[in-house]
Amino acid sequence: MRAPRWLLGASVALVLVGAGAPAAAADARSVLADRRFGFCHDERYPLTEGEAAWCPLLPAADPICPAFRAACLAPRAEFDGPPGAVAARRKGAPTAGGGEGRREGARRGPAGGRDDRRSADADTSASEGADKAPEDEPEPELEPGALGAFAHALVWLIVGGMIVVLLAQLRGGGGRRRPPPRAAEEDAEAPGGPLVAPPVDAAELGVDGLLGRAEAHLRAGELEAAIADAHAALLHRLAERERIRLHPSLTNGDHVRALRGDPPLQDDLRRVVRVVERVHFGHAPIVRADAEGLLGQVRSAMSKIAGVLLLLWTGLACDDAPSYPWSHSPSGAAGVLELLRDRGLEVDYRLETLDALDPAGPSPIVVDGAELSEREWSALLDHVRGGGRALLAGFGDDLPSELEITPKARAGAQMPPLADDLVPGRALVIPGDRGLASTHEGAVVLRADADGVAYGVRIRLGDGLLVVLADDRLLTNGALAIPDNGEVLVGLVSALGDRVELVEGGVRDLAIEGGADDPFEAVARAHLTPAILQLLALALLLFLWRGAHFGRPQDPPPPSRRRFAEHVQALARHYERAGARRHALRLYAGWAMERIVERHGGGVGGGAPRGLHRLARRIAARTGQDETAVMRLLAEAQHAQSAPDDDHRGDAEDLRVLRELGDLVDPPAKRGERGER
Amino acid sequence: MNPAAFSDTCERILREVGRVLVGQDELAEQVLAAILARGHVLIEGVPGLGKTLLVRTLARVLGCESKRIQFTPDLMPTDVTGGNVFNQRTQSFDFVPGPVFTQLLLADEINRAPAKTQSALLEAMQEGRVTTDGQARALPRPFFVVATQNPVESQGTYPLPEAQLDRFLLKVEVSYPSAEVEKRILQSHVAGFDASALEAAGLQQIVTAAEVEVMQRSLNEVRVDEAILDYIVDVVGRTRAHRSIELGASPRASIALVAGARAGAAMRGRDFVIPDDVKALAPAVLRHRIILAADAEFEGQSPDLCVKEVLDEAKVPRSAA
Repeated sequence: MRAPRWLLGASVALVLVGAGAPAAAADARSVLADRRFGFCHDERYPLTEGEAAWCPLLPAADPICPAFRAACLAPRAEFDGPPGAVAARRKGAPTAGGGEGRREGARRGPAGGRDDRRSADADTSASEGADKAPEDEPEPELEPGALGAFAHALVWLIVGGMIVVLLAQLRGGGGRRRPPPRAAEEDAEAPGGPLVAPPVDAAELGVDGLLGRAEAHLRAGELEAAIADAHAALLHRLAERERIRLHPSLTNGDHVRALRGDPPLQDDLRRVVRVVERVHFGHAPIVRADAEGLLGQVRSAMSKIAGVLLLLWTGLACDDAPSYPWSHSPSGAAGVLELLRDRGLEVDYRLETLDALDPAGPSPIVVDGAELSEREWSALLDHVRGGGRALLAGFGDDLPSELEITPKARAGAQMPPLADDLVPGRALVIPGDRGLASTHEGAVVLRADADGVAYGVRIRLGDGLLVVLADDRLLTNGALAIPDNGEVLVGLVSALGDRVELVEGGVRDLAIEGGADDPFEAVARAHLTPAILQLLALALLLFLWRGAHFGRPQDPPPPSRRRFAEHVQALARHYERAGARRHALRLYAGWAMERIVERHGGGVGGGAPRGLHRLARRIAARTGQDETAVMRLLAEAQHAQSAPDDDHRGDAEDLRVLRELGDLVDPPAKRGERGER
Repeated sequence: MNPAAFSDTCERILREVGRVLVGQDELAEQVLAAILARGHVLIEGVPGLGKTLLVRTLARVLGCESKRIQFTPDLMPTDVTGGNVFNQRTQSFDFVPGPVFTQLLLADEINRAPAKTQSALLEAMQEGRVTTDGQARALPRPFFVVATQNPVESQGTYPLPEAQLDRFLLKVEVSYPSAEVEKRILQSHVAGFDASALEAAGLQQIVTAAEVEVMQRSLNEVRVDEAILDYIVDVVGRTRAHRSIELGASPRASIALVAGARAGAAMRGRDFVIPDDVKALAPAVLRHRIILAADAEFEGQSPDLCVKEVLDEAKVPRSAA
């Protein structure tokens, strides 16, 4: 909560300082001197085709925008934001000036031969001075709608798949949850628990809480507790970031080794654990400097963890191409707004519909992309008739018929000043062929080309005043690059009063229409489709690479004895089906005899019967069994190893030998101790 | 000896050994730890991995007298300990000391001799003396046995009795070197190294036998926190309750773990033991002291796997988890 207050304070201070400063009359040159207007400062600035229409009109000597002419020769922009041309700004796309902190698109430098081709096209277009490109040339847009049904299906498929996998993992993890290790229970019950905060504390407090508690302990002079908390905080932060795994059986050395891939962080952790281990297990006394130094090291390590994450995030988010805000492009209006405000005008965006215009309120400047409804047109005209003022820019055929203004092709870009002009002695230069013809009684032509085709017309409507422009290029940053255009603009807008409101499509969409109707539209409006598709692809690749890691890592279930028993039973059934009873006995007898000889020492050397006798005597002496019975069993086992498969003694007899041999190898008493049957 | 000097000396010893024994740093470190902890080492591995070379090199670097016994199936106990021989000149029996009377004894392929001969080493290893004809004779100090054995699956071998195995502080397993290490071994041979002539390799003696004893005594100053003792007891206790282990480790294993951990800590320049010292040495201390249950062997369990499971379950003291 401190940061916003501080920010607010700083903003207020800046405003006050600005208000108190001597009001130097700003002009277009000083406004465009801002480095954010990249097209004036970057000779490789990627212009759109529509923006390139300004190129032939730019002055060669003493340019207001020094780099604009050079940028005209640079490759054209890849579309990564709102359409560039003024007339192409229609509903659903952010418009000029619609950015300025609200809804900014961005453009990037192009790559490859395609851009050279587009550059050549731009040159041709510019040399013709045509303004038809914006409407005729569809800008390449990467939006879900443009991608078609397949993209929709693919996106939903991926999202659905991820949800299913997530649910499956959560369910599977819950089902296989292993009971906590016995050690943990014992330790919890053991008197005199560990000095560090118990895990439940760490889980409740969180990393910041642990660090805060460490500082509190330090202030209170509880050095050992401070060190333990700081150590725990660092380990939990590393575990949160999945750099290490926390488990009661893992030592500090294990954690240090886990950071093998990040030597600086590994060194930091090593330094920390050295101190911690000296405190926990050494006999040197703890001094305050130890605890303070350790806290410093922990903070340093934590900042490195955050730094690495930030670096990763930045690496993912950025590419090497420069990016420019749309509001400061030649099609944006940030410079226009700044110029008007510097000249003392109060300029704002209108965030409401035009249904309820206040005659005493600011005068609306409505640009083409606003797409007014019938009611709004009606309200706007009523406002003018009631004594208000308004400016309409670029509506062409959409203007209400009662205004008696129709589009007409203009022949030239140069429009000299007229006798009864608002801004005497200043010419207007606007590219394109859009002009106006008015039959309205009392209409005053503000600017016209050499053939008399008007670019701007002023009419009186009722008690009010309405200014109509053929397009809204004059309201863009690009216009300010031409000498005198800025002054004409200021004069024109000043005629509307001290307070004006800009009514334009992008801001109206956001403010009036509210949110998007569906997620795809929201994504499209935010121009996040490529980023989201890339992230989904990245997630898919990560999933394929690392598998699904959801929930808490768990140890694999311990191997079950049942598995071994089942294996043995299956093998026995297999032998039974194959009629290989004697074969099984032979194998088991061989294995059992090896184990018995191994356990009881010596061997069966010196001739089989003598060796067996010795072995039987030793077994009888050690186990207390009858020597004759042991000898008989050993002889039967010996016989079973060499007997042919067709030597049938009967199932019961073979089973008895197997069992007795088993008892000899693994005495029932020991099986009982292990809890086995 | 202060921890830094101790660690520095050990580093110099290991560096000198490393000049001759290529790529077996961990083996050399563990053997040195055992020697410093007054323990004996059993090294298991196939022939040709440098086991004998390590012992000869260590003897030279530590300034100890060394002897070697090649164990064979017909080796007699007196071939190890020595015995009374009739002296015709004096008309009396004189004691002729066996090869066990040395400071560093290499018992090569110890599992090739029968149990009786193997057992002849028991008293020497445990008490540092040999008793013949009722007379006890002390062995020189320091005294270590470094025994080597081939894997028990090899033909013509006798498994060491549990009592004898328990006398070894560590059992170290040596595996084949990596291709890179093997190439370095070849390069050193191409450059003229001859394992049979260590003098030519210019090995330096880093310490004397007396200094080794001083280092051994200084381990008594290495602190072992009570929590570490609890941890060791827990780890060793778990081997007795493990479902795959028929016979768990004895209290002698706990003592060996403490001694080994102390040596490990001192070698790393610390005057206190940390859980890592225990954990690092536990497999070497415990693997030869446990006997697996028959069905666990059938399932392919190994002592190392069991020890790992035990360590994965035992809670490390002062853990932040």
